[in-house]
Amino acid sequence: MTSTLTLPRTASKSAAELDFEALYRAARDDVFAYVATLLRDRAAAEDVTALAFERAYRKHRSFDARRGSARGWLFGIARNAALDELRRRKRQAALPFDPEDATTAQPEDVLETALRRTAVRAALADLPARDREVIALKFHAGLDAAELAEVLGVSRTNAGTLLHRAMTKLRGAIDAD
Amino acid sequence: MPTDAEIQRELDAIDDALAGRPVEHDLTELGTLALALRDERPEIDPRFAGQLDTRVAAGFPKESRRSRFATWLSPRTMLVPGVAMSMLLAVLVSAAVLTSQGDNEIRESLGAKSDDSVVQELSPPAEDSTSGGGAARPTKTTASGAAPAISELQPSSSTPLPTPPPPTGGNGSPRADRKPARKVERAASMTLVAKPDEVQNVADRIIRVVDEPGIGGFVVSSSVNTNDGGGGGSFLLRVPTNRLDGALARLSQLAHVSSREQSAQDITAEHTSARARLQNARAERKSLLRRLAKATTDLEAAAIKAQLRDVGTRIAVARTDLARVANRASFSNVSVSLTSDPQATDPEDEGGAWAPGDALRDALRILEVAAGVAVIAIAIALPLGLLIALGVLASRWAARRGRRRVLDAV
Repeated sequence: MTSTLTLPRTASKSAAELDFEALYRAARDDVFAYVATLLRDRAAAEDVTALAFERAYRKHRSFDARRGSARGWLFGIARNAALDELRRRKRQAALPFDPEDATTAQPEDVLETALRRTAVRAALADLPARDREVIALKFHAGLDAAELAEVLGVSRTNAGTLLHRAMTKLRGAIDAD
Repeated sequence: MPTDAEIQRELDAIDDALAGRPVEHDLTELGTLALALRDERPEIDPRFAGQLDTRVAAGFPKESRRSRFATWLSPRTMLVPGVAMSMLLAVLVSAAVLTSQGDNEIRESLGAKSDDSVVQELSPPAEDSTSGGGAARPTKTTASGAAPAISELQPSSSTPLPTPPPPTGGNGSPRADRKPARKVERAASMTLVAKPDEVQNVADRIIRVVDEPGIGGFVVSSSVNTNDGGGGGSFLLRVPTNRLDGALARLSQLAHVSSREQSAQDITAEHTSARARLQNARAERKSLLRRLAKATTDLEAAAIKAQLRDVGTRIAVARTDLARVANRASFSNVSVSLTSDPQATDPEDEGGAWAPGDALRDALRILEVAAGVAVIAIAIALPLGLLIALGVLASRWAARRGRRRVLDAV
């Protein structure tokens, strides 16, 4: 998932600053999507996303590639910022409903798709934060198994187990509806 | 409970679905769910995205850093380091207070000394409390033609330092073990040499020194004679003992100092003895007054009254003795002899021209002071830094723990 927006460039950039910009371009939307799913609050998600990138910008010169990937490092910062926000606000506001794209579906599919999305959305919102976070990292941020393990601070096997467990709960919640 | 193989199979199906690859038939529903979850991904608001792009391109302007600094200074962030610093300050203040109290006790027990004073010999306290005390042992420092430096005045190596007198009081009272304050009688003498035409001027200045508010002494006797060949004078001054060193320093500035002596005599035992006599006499009077109140006959009362008169006299004598001993410690005699010499140098001219050796000594002294300051700074900064580091680590640990817990609480 990459950004299509173009940032204004400044001259005489060092290699480290260029890397940050590239990381930002590639991960901006992913970070927002992850934070928004975890916090279930768009306004708070925007604040946390900005804060996460600001922290990452301040620390980007100290990033050590031997300790992990850049995306894993960035999402670790975003995760901490989001968890700090959860601690501070302890909100559970729901995301506003996103209207369907009416130009791509046939009328008879619209209802079925809408119902499925509603069920998935409701089940996702009702998941515990720990499970919701794993799903957000996997499906909304697009992290692979290694990055998921790095962000959560667990082994790849454990990360897979956590994801499977969250999916099982989600399927159970959807089936229960 | 699914096996690890089943779990991995389902995870692979999710990845296949997200990548657009075909999914095994029995996992179609899982693949569909994966795609549905991806479709539920929140989209960023373009307005917010533009604002964030601008901030990133600008390197996050200073206003945001200022707010970050304000966040650093928030009560919650500064709680642990603040408490740590408060505790360290409390420890430092307590140590400073205890150290200064200890120094004061030591200073009181040894007698007051000024920083530039001559190192004094203390004569041993008298064995007999009623005697006049041991003989004074002068510290003679005679210099020929040059003012003796303070550092050259040293006690005689053959004279041992006296042991403090035994503490008074007893009967288990809290003050039984307290050492009495030392009483030291000090005296000094110096010889000043001035040019013949300066003798009268120096004599006048000697008397003015004693009258200075910072000295607060008085002239016991003085005699000055001037003639064509020069002249001279002798002065007996009395200055408060705690200002003796200042008085000597001022007098030394008036003319060339050809000799200077100081002595000190420990009269603590005399003082203690005089005070004890006064206390005993007062106690005896109190006892006699009680007996007088209980006297049943005129004869008995008359006898007690006679004893009261006697003890009253002894009280007066003891009080006088005590005041005299106290005065000996409170004021010091300074004997100044003034002579004339055509070759005498002006004390302002003494000290010599500035030489490389002086500069080297000054430089070494500055280095010593700087090294001392650096050591003290390190001694303060090191524990302070450790405490701050511990505070920061504790804050981070608490934050990590809080983050882990919030996922279970929400």
